[in-house]
Amino acid sequence: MNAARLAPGIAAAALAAALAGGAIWAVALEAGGIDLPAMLDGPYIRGVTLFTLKQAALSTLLSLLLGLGAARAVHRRTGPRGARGLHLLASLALVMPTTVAAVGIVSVWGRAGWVADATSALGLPGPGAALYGLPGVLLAHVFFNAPLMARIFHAALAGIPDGRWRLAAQLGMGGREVWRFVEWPAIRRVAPGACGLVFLLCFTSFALVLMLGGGPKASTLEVAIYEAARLDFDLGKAAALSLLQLGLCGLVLLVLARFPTEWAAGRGAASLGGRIRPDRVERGGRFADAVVALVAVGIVAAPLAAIILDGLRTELLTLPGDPVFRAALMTSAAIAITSAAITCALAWAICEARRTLVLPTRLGRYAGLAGLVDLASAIYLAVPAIVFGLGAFLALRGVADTFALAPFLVLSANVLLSLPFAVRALQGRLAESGARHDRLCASLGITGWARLRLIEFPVARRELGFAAALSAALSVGDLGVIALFGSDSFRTLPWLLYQRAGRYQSDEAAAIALVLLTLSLVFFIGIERLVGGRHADR
Amino acid sequence: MLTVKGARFTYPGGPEFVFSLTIERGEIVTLSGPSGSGKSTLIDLICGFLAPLSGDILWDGQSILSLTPAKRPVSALFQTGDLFDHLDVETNIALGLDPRGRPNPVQQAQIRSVLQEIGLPDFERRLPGQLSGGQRQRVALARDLLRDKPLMLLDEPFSALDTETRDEMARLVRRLTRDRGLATLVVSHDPTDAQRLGSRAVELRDGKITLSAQGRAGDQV
Repeated sequence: MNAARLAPGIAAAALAAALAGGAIWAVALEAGGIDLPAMLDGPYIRGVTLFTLKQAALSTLLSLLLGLGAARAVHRRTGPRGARGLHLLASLALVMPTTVAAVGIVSVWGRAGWVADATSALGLPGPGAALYGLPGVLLAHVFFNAPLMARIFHAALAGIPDGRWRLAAQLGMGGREVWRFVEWPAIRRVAPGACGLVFLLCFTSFALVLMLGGGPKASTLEVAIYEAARLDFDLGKAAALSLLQLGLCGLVLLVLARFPTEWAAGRGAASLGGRIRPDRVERGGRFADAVVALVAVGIVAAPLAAIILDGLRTELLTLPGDPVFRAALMTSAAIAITSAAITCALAWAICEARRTLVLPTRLGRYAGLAGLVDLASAIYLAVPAIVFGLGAFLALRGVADTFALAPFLVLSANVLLSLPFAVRALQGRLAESGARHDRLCASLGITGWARLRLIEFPVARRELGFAAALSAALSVGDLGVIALFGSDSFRTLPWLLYQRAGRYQSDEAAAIALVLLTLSLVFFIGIERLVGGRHADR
Repeated sequence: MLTVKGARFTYPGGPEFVFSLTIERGEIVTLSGPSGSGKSTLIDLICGFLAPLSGDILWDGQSILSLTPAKRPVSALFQTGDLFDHLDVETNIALGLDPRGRPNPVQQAQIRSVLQEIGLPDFERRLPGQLSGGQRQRVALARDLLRDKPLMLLDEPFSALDTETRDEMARLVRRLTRDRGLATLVVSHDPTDAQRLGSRAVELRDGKITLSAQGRAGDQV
């Protein structure tokens, strides 16, 4: 076996597994002294668990309905330009910090938001404080996940061969038949995976529920863990909740593993499908598309516009004069760039090791080890940031000053939580390159640095750029571990935004939200172009 | 001379293959057989991608089993992935001379000369995607020629080519084998390729050679 190709990746996977295992172990030890069954049977935890499940299920359902409607409307009414717009919107939702979105949603739907202004002008009753609680959480989750669903479904519709649309038109199919015989078979393949993914994302949602939830009646497990650890300092309760959260996440992942998750679906192939579909001219279809467009504007476009307009209305230019803001900005940028670099190095090493283990010439002898490498790189889908942070705190509290280690812990969490996405972005391309080039490289003696420089980097550059950009954008907007370790001496921009929004300093919050949104986009687009080069456009 | 001496190999849960074959310098052998008969496995064993469970593979009487694929006296042209699509023709060929892809001026001159020899002068800067199927094959062949290995393995080299290009490539392979004294093994599904190449035809069934006959050299080429 080629040790140079295997060792770094196996070491990276082992490190990721050890850190996750260590955190879970520390949590389990802390929870050991607690009467878990009695605690989990209490009304508070039962209520929190039920709310977590309920909001995740409702968010998934609403995102599915809006995403599917939007995908069909874009496919029916627009050509490649609409598909590109949808792709852009989905990318924006992917990289937008949750704290920023929460500020935008409050600006539209809050007590003094746009909707309240409009209803007041019309003499109607306003929304009042109704946003805080389940409605706010659902709005926020649909804001993030409906574009993701729409992108996945649009890619599935765009993948339907033109011949099938022509046949449907020739046979005179109406809207219902088109859905049943043409669209549904394509949607059915991707819907379970997409729904499972969105359910998991909503189930583990933290920052949105923290900012838009409404006390104990509208709290998720993650927020309950945070409150137990940071506000009540009841570490036993936090640990017990973490175990419950881990168990439920594992269960969701087990179910999710049964379905293909094409969340990274492409931009949608250019096809004639939309232009020749027979239901394009139906009155009912037009009405449905108009309703979807209206809802999408209210839920997705309006908060986006609010973030930009509110941010521009504030004293934006005075922000750089604020030393606290400057420090938070520098910290966030440094963490994002470092996190992207480390994540990509680890992901690359893991993908390299994995493809080496499953080379056809290995005859399946190391498939078990490859499975373990997969598991280690995906483990952070089931270990939420807050649980990892709590575990790290519990493991280190007697050994070191955990608050002094906060930058390192936040960086570690960002790296580990981005790792599954980076591995997923790179894995397919590197595996394909290996299948195509391994024999030729071996027979020509192209190894090590020469292979990386000449073959792998140019081939996988675009995917590496995407992985780095996504990792940086996720890190710069993360409000996870920082919520446990943030302090006056260590702040990131999302933490600062959360603090300012929590103190009702809405002007400052709006300005910081706009800066944070801009920073996320600059990182996402800039790093993708910088690393991905001209290939990023292909 | 290549000698495959009772090289035995089994995939997990698959049938057992036992290969025995010799190819002289200056000789072309065409290997045919149904899917799963072991053609690609034999190529992989000779190249060094798979190791036989027993038996030996020798070049001029010396076992080559302990050598890595790059060190074996073999240059191979595979069915797919014969060129790196993101690298231009010159770099693709240069990799046959220097695995770091940095040819010196002498090597650059060699590359120009071999491109001339295979009828593709001034193609240095083209990408593989800009070449026809036949041109791609010739570029890959040019790279293998510069490696100056005495044993040439071609895995389905003509499968994607039209009849005219097949004839042209077959003429090139015959000329190179004769002029350079190569031992050439060609895997092909098409029975007319043996005649086209004027080669000895060998048929594999379940890993064993069941037929060995001389193709009629030059009749159709």
